[in-house]
Amino acid sequence: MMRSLQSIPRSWLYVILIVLLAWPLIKPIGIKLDISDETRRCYEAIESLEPGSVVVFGFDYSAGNKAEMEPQALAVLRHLLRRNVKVIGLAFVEQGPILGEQAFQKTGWTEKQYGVDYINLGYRAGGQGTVAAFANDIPGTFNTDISGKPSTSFPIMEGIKTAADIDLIVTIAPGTPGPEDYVRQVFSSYQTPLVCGVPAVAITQVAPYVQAKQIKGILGGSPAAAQYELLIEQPGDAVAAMDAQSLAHLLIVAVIILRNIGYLAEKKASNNTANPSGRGTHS
Amino acid sequence: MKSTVPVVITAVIGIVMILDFFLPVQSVNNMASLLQSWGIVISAFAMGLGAVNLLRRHTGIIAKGEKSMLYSLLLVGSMILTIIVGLFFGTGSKLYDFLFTNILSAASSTLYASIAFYILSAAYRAFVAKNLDGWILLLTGVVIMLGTAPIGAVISKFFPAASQWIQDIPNTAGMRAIMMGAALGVVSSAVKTFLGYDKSYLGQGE
Amino acid sequence: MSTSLGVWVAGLMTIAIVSLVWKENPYYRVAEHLYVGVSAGHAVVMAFNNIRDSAVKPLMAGNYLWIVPIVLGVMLYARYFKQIAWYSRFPVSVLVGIGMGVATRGAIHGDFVQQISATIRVGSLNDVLLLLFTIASLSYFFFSREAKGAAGAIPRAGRCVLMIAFGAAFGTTVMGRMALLIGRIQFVLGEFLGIM
Repeated sequence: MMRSLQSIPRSWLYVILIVLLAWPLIKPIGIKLDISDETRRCYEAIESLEPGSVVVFGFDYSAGNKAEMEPQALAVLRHLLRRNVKVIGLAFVEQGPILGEQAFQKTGWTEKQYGVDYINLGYRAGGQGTVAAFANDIPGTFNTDISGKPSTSFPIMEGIKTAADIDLIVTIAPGTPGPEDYVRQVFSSYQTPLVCGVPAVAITQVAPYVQAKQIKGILGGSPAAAQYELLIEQPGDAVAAMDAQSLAHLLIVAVIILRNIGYLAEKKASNNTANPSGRGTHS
Repeated sequence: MKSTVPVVITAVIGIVMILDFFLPVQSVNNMASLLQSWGIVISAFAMGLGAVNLLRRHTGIIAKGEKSMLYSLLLVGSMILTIIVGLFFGTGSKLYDFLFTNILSAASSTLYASIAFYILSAAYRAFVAKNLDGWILLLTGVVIMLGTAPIGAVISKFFPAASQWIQDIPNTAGMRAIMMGAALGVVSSAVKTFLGYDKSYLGQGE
Repeated sequence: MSTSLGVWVAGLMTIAIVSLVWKENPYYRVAEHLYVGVSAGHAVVMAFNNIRDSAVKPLMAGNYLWIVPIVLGVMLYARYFKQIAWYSRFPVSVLVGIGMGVATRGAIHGDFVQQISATIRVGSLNDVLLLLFTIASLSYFFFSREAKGAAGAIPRAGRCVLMIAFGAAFGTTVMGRMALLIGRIQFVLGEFLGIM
């Protein structure tokens, strides 16, 4: 039995994974989801915004990370819509502006007045240097919106010059430019509050910034998106994915345990073969 | 001329950027802002290099009539189509959205997602704890996996609490040490570059 | 099952790309080449829009200084002509200067000074642990002199702290990759097959 569990063919493992993930999506189990303090901090940062506040929303993710990042972006945008604030969308990643357009549409922002309540300033190349340029001169760096019209011709840009004129920056970013660059180039100079959505992989990397209070709150991966969906009482794709996420983690934990039991058994057997009396073995 | 001038340009611009942060002098700040906005334009030109390299490689394959020329034709064709649609119909057009959402987005998401299969396979075959370090790493990974998914709290409240503590304290300490080391690395690398000891970014030859 | 052409294309792209995990095959290669082509095309479009909006428009409006970055940008392509390939060093040196300068100032303040000040702010047991763990982890990277005897215990403890950090990164990596796969399965079961 143990031996056969140690030699499951790769293709079977893949089938098990697909079935395990698909099953709760078709037939949800409804595992209870607790809301973490970290997610609540992000929610409260947005909840505390006064109506009319100006928020910069960085669509700094690509299509490859969409499954993990978009639910965060949608949940936060829905919350911002409810808070009646103004949103300036922009991107330092070249796929960001189009994903931003889609996010504005999915969350109902497009029913608001473009250029007055929200705007999409598109993408600017250059990475960290451009983030620094943005902090010092927003209308200069993003001199046009996504369609090429002068950004200063829109009422929403009135009085916006530097990052000091922004009440909150939200960036949904899986890599660079991302939270680190906003901290180094924007927060360090202007102390503009930052809320960051990062993929699970990056949670550990941005943790020092959160502890140092350079970032107000982080949303980490799909679980945080699901928790945010619950906080705004609009469950979506992330909540639907949580049962599957749980089963996936259980499967990985199970195979790790299985592999290590196998290894220990192999080690014991080889020790016994090398020294049947069981004496004098040191490792 | 061919290597000294570029090094001097790098050093002067680099120093202006650093001074811009620490000195509230209007002329320095203006110069830094101007250079940063030039950087946007030059970076945008640099983005085209990748496409030119791809075109050179694949038009070469097509011209030689190699076995994989059909794939190269597809690549070049889809690239040119995207450029034409993007430039003449705009990135907001339905056709561009079709290409972006159904080809780029679908393929890119699936490529990233496929890594999950390899992680499972690696977990099954290779994630073996052979010493204390290995045990620490694997046990922490298991606690984080159980603590971050909703199932962890169902099994025991220990998992989410332990997972949060690990992320907040030992992880923050470890990552902070790496971060501080990397920051010192950035500074020393900048000094080497500005003094002309490191010219690797200029490529080879005079 | 969906009747939309777009969803079908996306569905077939998804299946073709995922087929790589079994083995390389012509369907995967078709999807891969299409993807690379569209991605590269998208990058060109975005780059063109950047150049148009950030440089050409101000230039047309009479701000002639913008000719400088345009000329520098064009010089990048000199690398394809052997005789003048070295011209491309000038725009590269500008980009490296900006990048290094900006990275240095950001690293000094955000990743070094601010991190030290956050570490030494001690107000609770966890803060004390954070301080000790950070010192131990830093000592592990101190290679100038070998720590022997009792002094060697500190870098050894630092190594354990780093292993915990890497373990946490491993756990969150699994979480992230599974989330991406779940996203694709949601698409296939929902939009494509319509059984969700």
